[in-house]
Amino acid sequence: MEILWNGARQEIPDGTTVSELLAARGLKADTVVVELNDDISGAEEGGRALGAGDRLNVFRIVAGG
Amino acid sequence: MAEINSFLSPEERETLGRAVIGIAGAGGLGSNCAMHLVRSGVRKLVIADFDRVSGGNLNRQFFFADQVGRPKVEALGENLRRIVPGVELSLHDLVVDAESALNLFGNCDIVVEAFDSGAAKQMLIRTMLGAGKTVVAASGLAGWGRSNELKLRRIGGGKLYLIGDVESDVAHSPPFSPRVGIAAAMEANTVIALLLGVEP
Repeated sequence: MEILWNGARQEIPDGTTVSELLAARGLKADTVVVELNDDISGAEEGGRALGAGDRLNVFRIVAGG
Repeated sequence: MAEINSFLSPEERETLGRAVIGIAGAGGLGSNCAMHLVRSGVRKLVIADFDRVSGGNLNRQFFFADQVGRPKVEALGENLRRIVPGVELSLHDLVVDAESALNLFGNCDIVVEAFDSGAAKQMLIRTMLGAGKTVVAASGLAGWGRSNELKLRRIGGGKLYLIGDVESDVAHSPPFSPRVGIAAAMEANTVIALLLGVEP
């Protein structure tokens, strides 16, 4: 199925969860903010299976201030 | 002293003066963001940081050589009052964790994330979003150049505003005044825009 990852179309296996996708891309859930279909409440917890057409935006939170 | 924001309308001045803004961290982001907010007409700040001013901080933080060794919140309060003597400051010299963040910033209209470590940034963002607060945060501001990569991202339908390039980690290049300062100014600019109801 196809989703949008940071605005770009990506083909992923059906049933892939947010956390599986993050892990596959080498991203730790506690180092990113995840926005799923304009929602940021808990998407990074990750258990939810993505659906076709979902818009997933992933922002790295890096040190510095 | 003449009102330093004479070019704001009375309504705008009232709006900015009434708002309570939380600033979590008083380093490069927090000290400069607070300075911009006070210069812009914000008059009520809650600021928390556990750290002391060090010589190395002076490359980007709103402190002075004669303040080295002092608690950052205390030195920052002094500097902000030199701009606006009547500014209302709630200063907290402590380590902010999830529990204290809720106590400190629970009554703030907007909370600015101005920490250094990635873990502290995450903690603050998640805690305050969970409490229903609008959060203005920064990620990716190390190094120099690449000004056009410092962007404002509106996330979660406007619950979180994230500033920076979301890439440049201080683990790989050091924090310098211009890029940290740009991010701090963008945080303040976002707060002002949200308060005045214009496009951040």
